[in-house]
Amino acid sequence: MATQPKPAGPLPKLRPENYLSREFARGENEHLWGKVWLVAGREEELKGVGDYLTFNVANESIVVARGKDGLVAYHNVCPHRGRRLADGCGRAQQFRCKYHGWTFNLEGKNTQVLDRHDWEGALDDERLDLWPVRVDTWGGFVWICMDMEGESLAEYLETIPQYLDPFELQEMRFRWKVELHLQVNWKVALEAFMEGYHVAATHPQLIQVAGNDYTQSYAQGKHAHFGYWKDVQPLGTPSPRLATKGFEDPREGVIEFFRQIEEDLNAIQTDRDYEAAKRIREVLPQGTDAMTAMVTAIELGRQAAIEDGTQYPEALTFEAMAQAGSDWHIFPNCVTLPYFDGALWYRARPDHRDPENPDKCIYEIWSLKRYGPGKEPKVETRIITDPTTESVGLILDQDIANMTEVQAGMKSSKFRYARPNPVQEMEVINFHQTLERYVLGQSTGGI
Amino acid sequence: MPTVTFIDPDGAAAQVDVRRGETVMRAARAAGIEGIIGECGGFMNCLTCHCYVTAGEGGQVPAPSAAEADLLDCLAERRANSRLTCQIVGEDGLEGAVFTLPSWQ
Ligand code: FES
Ligand code: FES
Ligand SMILES: [Fe+2]
Repeated sequence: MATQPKPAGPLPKLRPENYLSREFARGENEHLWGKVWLVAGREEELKGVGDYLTFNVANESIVVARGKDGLVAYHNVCPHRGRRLADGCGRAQQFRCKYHGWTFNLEGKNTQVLDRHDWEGALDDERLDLWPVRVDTWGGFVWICMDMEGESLAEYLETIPQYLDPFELQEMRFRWKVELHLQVNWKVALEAFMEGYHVAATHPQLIQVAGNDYTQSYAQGKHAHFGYWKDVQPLGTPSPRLATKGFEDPREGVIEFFRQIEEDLNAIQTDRDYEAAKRIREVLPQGTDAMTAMVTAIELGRQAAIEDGTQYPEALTFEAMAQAGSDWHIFPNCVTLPYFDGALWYRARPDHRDPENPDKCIYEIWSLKRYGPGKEPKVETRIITDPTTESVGLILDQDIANMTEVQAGMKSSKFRYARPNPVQEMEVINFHQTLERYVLGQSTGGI
Repeated sequence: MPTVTFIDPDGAAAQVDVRRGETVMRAARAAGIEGIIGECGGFMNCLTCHCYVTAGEGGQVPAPSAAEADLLDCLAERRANSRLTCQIVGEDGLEGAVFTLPSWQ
């Protein structure tokens, strides 16, 4: 019996307007950011009572603080004449408006109106307290939702906790933080990290030692992930796209992989893992196969982490790690790449200083790591306004170099729609389908 | 002119002279006491002049007004002897008083 040719699937298409039009950006500001749960920061930034941070997105500013009974969040605006109350982050006993001195306690209650008698009682029935915002935590992140009704954070995250809880992101702390001010749409920046399809062309040095770089991606409700589940090859071996057999001694390939991640990315796997990986030269004989070399390097990293005073996450079996895959898009504006020892976390949003401009965004990169008790560094955010003159490491520089070219290229009169890969770029496809439901009211279902 | 003592959260002490009629907050700021910020200049608005006060040999430190007592309730680190130093004025009774700074301000 002759095999039937497989019928062609529908061609997934993405609308360039989603990245380029002011109207769509306004639509996001109106229908997206106020309706979803968003990462406002890390719990480690709000350790003591009175610690606060501000989070600006679109036209909104939110202040999150640790009150006497836990985290609180409010719209960061004074009800008197609208001055923003708090700026940046810090520690305060109360929120005090710098304009006319109205004050609010950490519970958001108005505590002082200067010369209140001038109103002759007219303020008595007026609501003068700060407008509350929902706040919750997961994975060590502080999440806010401006919509006071609707899904809880746990409901919103859908299957994410089931896959990512074993990584214990809440046990990690900042290793470094970068904030990039980019002349591209926030989604262009984020999508540079939402598929593994670009790795061969964008990071040619990496595929010499990163195993099989062929990825598969799947939607998980509003969110999505990708991983390496097919024809898996150990780290340290070259991509099957290449003719090379790789390192003659597979141990050296594994060490080279950890070196690249440490020196060219400085995230996900850690300096501790790289140091531990080098020890496979001592503990394994020459000629050890690549799989044994990789598994041993990972195990030595695990032992090094435990010796350094961090607990290995108990629930994170090899199976759990494999099921999670490598990369998660957390709708709408975060992406994470978790490992047992560290994680990368990206957060994108329109530039709040020009929120309707689709060509501008704030892009943050957070490298997280498990530290032994008290060993976490004090981390300042490095702000980069021109990434062409300041490096964030080879791998990220390569990713960032694509962004402005994509933003400019999509403006071509010939570029009517993007044609994402249905197997490897499902995170991007699912992202736009979900986004359009929020912004346009329903999926446009094709072009 | 009464002399008072400020003790910072690490236990280090500093003597400050408070001119008669001047507030303890302003005297502390002039003396460069870290931890007395006094952002509002003294109209009981900013709560950044908070201290724990113990009277010295001079006698009694006058009790807080009702308005001050209300505001002290907002403080995360409120204790029974919490005071806003912008509400305490230099007079003989202040001699030897000890002002302990809260762990953060
Ligand atoms: S605007 Fe805040 S007190 Fe006037
Ligand atoms: S100086 Fe502002 S309350 Fe005392
Ligand atoms: Fe990349």
